[in-house]
Amino acid sequence: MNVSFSIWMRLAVAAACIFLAGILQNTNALLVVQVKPNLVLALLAVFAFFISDWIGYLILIFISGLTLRFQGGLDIGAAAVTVTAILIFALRNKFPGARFVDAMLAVVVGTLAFYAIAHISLFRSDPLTIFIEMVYNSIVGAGAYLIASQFLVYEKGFRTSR
Amino acid sequence: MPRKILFVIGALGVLVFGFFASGFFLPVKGYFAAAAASVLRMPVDFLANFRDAGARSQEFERLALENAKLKAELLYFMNASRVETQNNREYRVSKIYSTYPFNTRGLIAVNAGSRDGIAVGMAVTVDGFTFLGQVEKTEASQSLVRTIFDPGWQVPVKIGSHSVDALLVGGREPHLTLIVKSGAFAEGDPIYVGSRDFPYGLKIGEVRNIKGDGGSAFFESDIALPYEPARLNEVWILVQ
Repeated sequence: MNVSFSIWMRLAVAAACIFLAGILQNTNALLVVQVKPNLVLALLAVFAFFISDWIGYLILIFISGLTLRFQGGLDIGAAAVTVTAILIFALRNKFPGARFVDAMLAVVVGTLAFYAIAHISLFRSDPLTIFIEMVYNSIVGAGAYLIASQFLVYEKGFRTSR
Repeated sequence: MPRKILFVIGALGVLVFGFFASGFFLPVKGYFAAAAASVLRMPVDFLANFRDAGARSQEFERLALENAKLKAELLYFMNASRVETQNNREYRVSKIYSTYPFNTRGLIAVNAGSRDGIAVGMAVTVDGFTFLGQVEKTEASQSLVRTIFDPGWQVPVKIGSHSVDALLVGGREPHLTLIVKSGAFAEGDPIYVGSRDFPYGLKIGEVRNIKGDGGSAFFESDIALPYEPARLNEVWILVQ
């Protein structure tokens, strides 16, 4: 199989995952104790450790922005996901441990960073929501890692950083 | 010889007469004519199949499209918002399009907008009588509703038959604060809207798990909601 074709096919699968996660996140289907997971953020955090080039990752961020934007004008939630994902991708080589541990750490830190940007007062008024979501996102992230490790395997041109 | 010729001519004449005048042979003739015609048509029909195949295919596609359109129309009208009237109040019953994708806001988008008479500030209920939120923004065909699950949203409410004042604070689990300690109320008492922005008396839920000690000036309590938020798929917007 042509390597570049394979890369784009893999990116298409990742994009489809982000798209479906974004759609699902706009429903209450995964609501547990009145908390919904940030599926898109969890997936973006994990995929950051499997994709090497900015272009591919920015495509994923763009798709996430499309699906998460809820109203006209600036949507602080969608913007916070975008900023958080870019930060994770830029700093992914700074994470210290094995790739799985790094990805989980990125999910946890990403969740905290998201709330710091989108709704910092929630740390004081309802920290339990943030904690529950962090756990929820980590579970989703672990599942995403298992899936990503099957189809986003290390390959020249697709992931060159590690 | 002449007799033979006469015999043949006579026989033919009888046959011709019988064939054309008596009608005796008509069914037989019709049968054979039809059979012959069909046999002769076979190659023509066979070739015509090729000629008409495109037209038939187009017709099939047109019917398929028409069928799909009718199904889509049916689905649209099943899901379209509708008007309900109860106790002289008019409601626009709308489907919930989507919910805000993060836990930072308690917003929902519904499929009725300014074109349907929806305006900012209208009260939104679960079933016509149970308060859920307020229209925050409208577009032509959809609106955004801020619900009691929106963190930080505060609505003045009343409790029970003695109309004890309290403040509802929105969030993942909406709760009551600033309940006057001197007020007479108990667990299970109904909580209803006391804000001037909404019709008075819309029920929100019931008092549950009252909290507060001697040191504080006010009580707090949780709210028992009569519905499961995750299962809501339509809302009743109070239009008039």
